Amino acid sequence: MSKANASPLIDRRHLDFLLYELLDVERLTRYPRFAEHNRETFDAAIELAHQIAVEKFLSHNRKSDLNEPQMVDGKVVLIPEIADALDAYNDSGFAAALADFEAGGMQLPFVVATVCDSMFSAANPGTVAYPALARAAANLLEVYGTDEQKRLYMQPIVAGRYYGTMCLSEPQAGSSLADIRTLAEPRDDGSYRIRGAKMWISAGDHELGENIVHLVLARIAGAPAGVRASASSSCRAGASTTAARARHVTTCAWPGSTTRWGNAAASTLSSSSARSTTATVTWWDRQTRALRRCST
Amino acid sequence: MFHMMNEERIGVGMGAVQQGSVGYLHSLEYARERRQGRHPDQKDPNTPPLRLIEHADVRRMLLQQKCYVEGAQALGFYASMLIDEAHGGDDAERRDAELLLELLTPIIKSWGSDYSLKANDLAIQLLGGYGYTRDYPVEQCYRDNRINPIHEGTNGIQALDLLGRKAMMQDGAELKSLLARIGATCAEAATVEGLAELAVQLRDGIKLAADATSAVGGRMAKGEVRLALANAEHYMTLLGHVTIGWCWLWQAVVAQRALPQASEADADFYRGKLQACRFFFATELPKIELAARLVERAEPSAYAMRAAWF
Repeated sequence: MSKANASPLIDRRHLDFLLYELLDVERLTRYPRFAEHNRETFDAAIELAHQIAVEKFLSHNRKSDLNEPQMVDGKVVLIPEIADALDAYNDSGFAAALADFEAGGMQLPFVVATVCDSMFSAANPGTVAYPALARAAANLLEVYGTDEQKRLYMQPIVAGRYYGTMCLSEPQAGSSLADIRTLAEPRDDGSYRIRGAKMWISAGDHELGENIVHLVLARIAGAPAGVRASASSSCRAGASTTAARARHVTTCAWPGSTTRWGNAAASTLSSSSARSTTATVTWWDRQTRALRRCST
Repeated sequence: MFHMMNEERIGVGMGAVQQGSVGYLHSLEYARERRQGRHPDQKDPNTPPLRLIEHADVRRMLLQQKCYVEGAQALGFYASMLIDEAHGGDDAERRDAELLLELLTPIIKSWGSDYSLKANDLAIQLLGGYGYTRDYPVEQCYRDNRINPIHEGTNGIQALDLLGRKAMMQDGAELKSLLARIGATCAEAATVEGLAELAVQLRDGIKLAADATSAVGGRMAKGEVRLALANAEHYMTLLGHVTIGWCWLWQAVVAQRALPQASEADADFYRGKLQACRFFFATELPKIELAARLVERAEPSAYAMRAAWF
C-alpha cells in the first residue's frame, strides 16, 4: 500500500519522467554550450540542490515562519539559519548555475537550473527569495549595465557577495505602475538624483551580504505621464526596448545598503507571509552621492 | 543573455507550484496512514476504520492536487526548456520557442499560482482539523503560496495581458503556434490505445479557444475594448485548462507507450499518469465550455454593474 517517495519536495519518479521521458532534456547537449553535460551531470546538480534544500532550507522553514524579520536598532535581524542556508547555496555554486564554466559557473541549461531552483523554493520560499531576487537584478545588469556597472554591481552578486532587489511598487502604485512618483532628475555629470518611496520591496534590507543593489524604477523629470514615457528616456544603466519588464522601466543601479553606505534613508518592515524581508525604502536628496557613484 | 522577464515569471509560477507539490506529497502520505470512517455501505462499527485514501472523495482531493501540480510542473519545465532552445537553437527554433513563450509565461505564472493554491487548500481540507493547525506544514504552504497570485504582476493583470496583448499579437501567430503544438499531440494521441476520445475532446478545446479569441478580436476592432476584456479571467481559465490538458495528454501518450515494457513499480506509476489524465479530462477540462461561452459572448453583468448598486 505505502510507496516510498524519498523526497518531501517533489515526486522524484515523476521528475525523472518529465525530464527524461517526456521532455528528453538530454537533447540539449547537442548545443555546443551544453556539450560537456549529460544526464549524470544534470542529475548530480539536481541531487545536490535537493540535498541542500532539505538539510539547510527545509530545516528552518517553520522556524523562520515563527520568527519573522525584526528591525532592531535600525538593522534587520534574521534568524541565523538563513545566512547558513545561503552560504551553503553560494558555496555549492547555485548562485552561478547558469554562468559559464570559465566564470566559475555550472553552465547548466535553464531547464535544469529551474529544477534546482524548484527544490529550494519548495523547501523554503522565504529564504530562497534573497538569492532569486539578487539573480534577477544581476540578469538585468548583464543586459543593460555598462561595463563599469557590471564590474561594480553585477559581478559581486554572481559571486554571492552582494544581494539585489527590484524596486517598482510604491504606496500609491501597486499594479498601477504608470502612476509611480519616484523622480529621477538628470544632473550635469550624467548621474541622476532620485527622490521617492518604494514599498513591498522583497529582500529590501538585511545584513546577509556586503551590500544590496537596488534597481529602481523612476520617472525621468519632465517626461510625460505613463510607463512608455519613462521607457523612452534612460539612465546610464537604463532600459531599452527588448525585455518585457525593461520595456516599462528605467533603472538605476547604485549601492544602497543602509549600513554600509548610508544611502537608504529609512526602512520599515512589513510582516510578510513569504517571510523574506519586505521593506519600505525611502530615498532623499542625500542619495545624490551614491547615484554619482553609480554612473561613473 | 538570461535577462528575459519570461524567466522571472516562470520562476514565480514554479515557486508557487512547488508549494503545491509539498502540500500534495504531505497530504498523500497522511492519507495513506490516517484511519478514519468506513465505506457508505459499511454499517458495522466493529470493522476497523479505513485509511483515508480508501475513501473515493479523498482520492478525488488527491487527484485534483496531482493534476494541478504535475500538470503545471510539466508546463513549467517545458517552457524552461524552450528558453534553452531560444538561446541555443537556430533561427527557426528560436522563433518557434519565443512565440510559444510569450503565451505560456503568463499561463505558468497565473494558472500555476491559482491552481497550486487550490491544491494547498485541498491539502488542508484533507488533513481536517490537523491541517488547520501549525502542528502540520500544510497551512504554512497555503499562507506562503498566497503571495504568488499577487506579486510579479497580479493574476488579473496577467489575464488582461494574455487576452488583450499576447493572444492578439502578430495577428494571433503566438496562439496559432501554441494551438498547432497542442493539435500535434492530439493527432499522436488519436493513434494510442485508450486515448482517442481524449484527443477528440482536446481538439474541441482548441476550437473553443480559437473561436473565443476571434470573437474578442472582433469586439476590440469595433472599439468595445472594455467589454471585450471584461472576462479576461475566464479566458485565462480557458487557455490555461486547454494548455494543462495538453500537458496531461502528452504525459498519457508517453505513459501508455511505456506501459507494456514497464516493471511492476513503473507500471503503477504509468497507470497513475493515465488515470490522472482521464480525471482531468472528465472533471476539469469541461470547465472550458463555460469559460469560452462567457468570453465569446462578452458576458456583461460584471461590466455593467454599477458601484452604487453594491
